[in-house]
Amino acid sequence: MWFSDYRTKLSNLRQLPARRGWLDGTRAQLAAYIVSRSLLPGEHRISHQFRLATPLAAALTALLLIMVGATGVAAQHSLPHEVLYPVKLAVERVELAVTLGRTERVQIRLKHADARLAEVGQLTDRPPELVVGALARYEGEVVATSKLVSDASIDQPSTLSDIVRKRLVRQQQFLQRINEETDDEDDGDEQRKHSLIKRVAVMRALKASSEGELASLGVELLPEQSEANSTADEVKAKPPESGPDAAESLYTTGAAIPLPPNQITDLVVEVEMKVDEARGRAARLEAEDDRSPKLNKALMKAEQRIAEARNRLSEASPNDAAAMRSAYRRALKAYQLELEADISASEPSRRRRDK
Amino acid sequence: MSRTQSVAEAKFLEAYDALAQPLWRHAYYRVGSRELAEDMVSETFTRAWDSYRERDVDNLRALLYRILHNLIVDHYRKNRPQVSLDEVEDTLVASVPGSIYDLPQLPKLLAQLPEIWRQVLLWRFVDDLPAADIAKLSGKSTANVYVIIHRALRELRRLAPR
Repeated sequence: MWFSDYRTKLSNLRQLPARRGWLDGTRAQLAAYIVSRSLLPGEHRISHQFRLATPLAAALTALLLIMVGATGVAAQHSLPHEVLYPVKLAVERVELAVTLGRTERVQIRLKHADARLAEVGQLTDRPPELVVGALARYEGEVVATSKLVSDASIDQPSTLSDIVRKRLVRQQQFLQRINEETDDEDDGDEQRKHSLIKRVAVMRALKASSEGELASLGVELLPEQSEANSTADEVKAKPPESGPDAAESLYTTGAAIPLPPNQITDLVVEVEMKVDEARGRAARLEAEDDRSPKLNKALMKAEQRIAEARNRLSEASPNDAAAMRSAYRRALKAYQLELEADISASEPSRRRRDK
Repeated sequence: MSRTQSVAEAKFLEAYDALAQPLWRHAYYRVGSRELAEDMVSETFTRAWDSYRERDVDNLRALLYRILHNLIVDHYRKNRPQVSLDEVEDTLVASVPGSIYDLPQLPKLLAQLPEIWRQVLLWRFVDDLPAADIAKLSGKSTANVYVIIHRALRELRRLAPR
């Protein structure tokens, strides 16, 4: 019967597999997103009522904070495996709930992200799952921050993106240091396995952070598409003319948030640093013998982005904010690709060692 | 974090493990791009979590398919298809190892069907959704879904080279 024949053929389309790396990566991101949302129970639902009831809520919260004051203060220094840690998270949640301005909320989020990293710094000799948990919460904070920034209306966009970018860069430097220190722990199989688990979590956090950095520049996060349409992006990303209409149209077309000219020099230095870091790390990976084809591909792409970033920089005039941003975006992409390569380089070796 | 919240999280991540693959496949056969399908499915799960945590959801699978379907529809509203199924055919065939069926033809044939027919066939045979769920997703009656399946299969047969 031809009907059942076609049914079988259609059912066979089910054999097509999704990429394992994507499935695992998305699961980790989803878990981080869930953690970030769980820090804000019912944020959407309460927002309207909350605005109406703000003075009352603030008063009640202040009362609550006074009541739990002593515990709250003690909890501020607690770590994920300690009894008071949930109190610390609850206090943070309250702090966020009573903060209404976008810029202020972003700053609170960044502060919480710093707190998560401080915990990571104190957990280095603890079981890896504690570090992984703290880093997942860090990713959650970064994702939430990026969302706040990318949802931002056009009021003070450059101030907001600048705050976020600088803070994320500092956090990335901290994560890099943790990563380098984790590399050194190399005695015994068990210890090595723990180090690798931590390292992969640190890489993921770095990647989330650099994605947050991209989002703070108003860059679309669909990589291949936005690269393919980069010329169109750059046309849109030209500095806006003054006036509310220009600002409004910039926002609605999704163009990049403009950077004030005095930040361009800093940006150039940052690009150079990112490029050099990525090159250094790529060269270190190059030295390893057992690189997979996937890893090679990621490294080649990273190298290509680095070259593109350098070209853009050399072609850009000092006042060309769009070209600078484009160079910066390419350098960040290179950095991300290189991190991905590093993650995939660590993961197969972890599996091998587990066998 | 409350116990209820942890249970909800665990259930949601279980749903991810069970449904991420089929949802991706569905998106892939409809948009013809691996990466775009991946982005859409990631977005589907984050949006679904926002709904899931705020209200009772009886049928999480139907919710996920509904969100994904809306994303695909939005995508086509904003952009014309960038890659045709013809172009991705090689990748597709290469990714189905040892298939004894004439898969090379099928995506091409599917691409020639009206959008709603293709959609219904994918929901029914690739995603294995019951006709009642397909009826809800497509806004048609269950009887109409069966009619569409029948006509679409007949059309596939007509289009197939002899």
